[in-house]
Amino acid sequence: MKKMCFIILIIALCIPTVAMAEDVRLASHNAVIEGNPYRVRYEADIQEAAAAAADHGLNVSYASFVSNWDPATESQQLQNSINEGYDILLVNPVSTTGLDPIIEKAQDAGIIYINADCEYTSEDVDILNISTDQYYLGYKTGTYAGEVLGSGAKVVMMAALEGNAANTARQNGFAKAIEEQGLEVVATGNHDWDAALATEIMTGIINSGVEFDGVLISQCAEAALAAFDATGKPYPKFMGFNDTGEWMQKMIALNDDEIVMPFMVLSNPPGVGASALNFGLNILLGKELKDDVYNVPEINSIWLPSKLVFTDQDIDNPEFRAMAESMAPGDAITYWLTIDEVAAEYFK
Amino acid sequence: MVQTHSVKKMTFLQKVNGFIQKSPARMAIIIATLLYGITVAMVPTALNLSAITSIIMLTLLLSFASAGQTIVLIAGGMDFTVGAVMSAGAIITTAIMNGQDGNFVKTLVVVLLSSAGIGLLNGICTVKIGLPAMIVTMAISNVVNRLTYVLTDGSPLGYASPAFIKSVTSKILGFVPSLALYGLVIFPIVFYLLYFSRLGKQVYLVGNNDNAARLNGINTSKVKILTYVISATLSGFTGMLGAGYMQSAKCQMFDGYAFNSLIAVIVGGTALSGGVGTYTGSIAGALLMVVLTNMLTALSLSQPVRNIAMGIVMISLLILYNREKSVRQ
Repeated sequence: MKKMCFIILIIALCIPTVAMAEDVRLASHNAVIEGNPYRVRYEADIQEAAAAAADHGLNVSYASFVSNWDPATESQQLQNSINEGYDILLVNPVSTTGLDPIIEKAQDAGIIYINADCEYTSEDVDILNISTDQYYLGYKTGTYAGEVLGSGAKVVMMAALEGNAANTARQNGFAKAIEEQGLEVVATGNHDWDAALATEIMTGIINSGVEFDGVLISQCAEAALAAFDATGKPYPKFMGFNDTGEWMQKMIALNDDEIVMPFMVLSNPPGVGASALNFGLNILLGKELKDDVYNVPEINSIWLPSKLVFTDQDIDNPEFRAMAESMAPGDAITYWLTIDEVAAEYFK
Repeated sequence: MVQTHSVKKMTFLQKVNGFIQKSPARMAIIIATLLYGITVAMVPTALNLSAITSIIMLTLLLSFASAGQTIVLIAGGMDFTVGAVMSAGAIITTAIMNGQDGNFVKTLVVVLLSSAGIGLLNGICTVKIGLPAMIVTMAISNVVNRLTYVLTDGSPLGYASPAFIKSVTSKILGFVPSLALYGLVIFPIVFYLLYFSRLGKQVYLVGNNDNAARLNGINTSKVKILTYVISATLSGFTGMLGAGYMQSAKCQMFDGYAFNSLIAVIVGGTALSGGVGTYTGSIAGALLMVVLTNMLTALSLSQPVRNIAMGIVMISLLILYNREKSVRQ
């Protein structure tokens, strides 16, 4: 009888807790997922962060929408999400502008609209932009290349996708470091975040016979490295950056006995989407952002710092090696800010 | 005077057109040589052994991918699954090899069988169900891509084995890529299939006039389905070689080959209407594509400008090449 009373008491205590959990409907909108390991991880991290929100009494249900780089599909999907009454729209947009009417409609409906990863640059709407500090990725890589190669060294600059906001910020960072370090860019190309294209472009640059000391590349570094193997061209004196398991594993294999090719690993975490979700959940919980948190106040943009930096100096670093060994080739280094971390750092 | 000049100009253009029509392969090689000459004139350092090696290697890879496309096009079909099957073949290769030597035969069998299965599906949907080849193969291409995404969580595992990588990227006599050794197998098979086998003759007949071929006792459905199976099998094998070249695989890695192989085949003189074309032409078309890409990169053009230049050159070539009268049905 005592046992039965105890069970009833436990159930009675649990019922209010369950009843108090707030249901939150999240719609994550992406330009692309399939075929893009970064985006796959981005979505997986959002799901994990959504599940973790239960600790804060939030029962977050999640739905994912992919427009496959089609702005019309993106608008239609966002419109559907507004009609279906989602609480938070987390959007990695196809383009940096063009969604103003949809955003206004979502905000009129009381939906929290957060732009994640690639910045939305229209100043006519008042939304929160959460992205990784892309400028830093370019600047840090260029600076380290300058330290390794020395002033006057010749470099190849291989950018990602022309016109993409993240690429533009990175290239600004690269340009600043190139200027500061006195590097000379002797060849350029764009790989569009396409591995096969990165190999093709790097092969073409090698074939052009241009002499260079290092390669500054905005990810896809392992694919560019394959061009050196295929053409038989000796490895450059520096290559970076990238953030995948394959790149880290290859750098360990290449530099294990002695440093053959200095390199750079920088984190550009797919978890930025999960961090952005936790900004949304804090707003939902009624918290207010601090006044001085914006890196670009005109568009309410917050740049989350890249936390992990590894170079050839870390070849014996146990943390670097353990991370490299635990990752699948296509995986990118990931992490995100929890609800509490976001609250402590960015909210009043 | 003006009229005379105009007539002379037309005659010259007609002569050029006639020359192209007569031997698209020869014309593609001439244009490729000219383009390489222009590249070297503008960037003298572009004339080097490494460049020639790379051009041969990339031409071989594209010509392998174009082999099946050529056969399908001659039979009057079209195969947009080339890129997706190549990517899937590469993913299977790195997953089975997992960076270890000794799994070549197992990998080969799995890649060829799975690719042939996709080809069979293409063939059945196109021929037996009667759906348009372009739509069906694009749809199946999407299905294959989604499958690779689902099965790998978007992040394929493993690497090509060291011995396999070496068999693709080593140099013979210092400049001939060892990938050419695979060509010694693939080229004779394709040439035999197209020009010396009973199937090859049937492929041309079916592409030329489906009704006449059927009335002559040819099982046209079987022939068409077989072309799709052959195309997918060759695409899968090319994807396997591509994995050796890239050393690892990613979902949709070789998607661009669907378009590139089609362009190479058309530039090589194979008619979209079917019944006309040669594999020699497709190889020459592949060479032209690779040399053009190499030129645009050597000139350090930005990617958007490269794409525009590539588009303009391709459209110009296709206008010149595709002026052949339709084949009588």
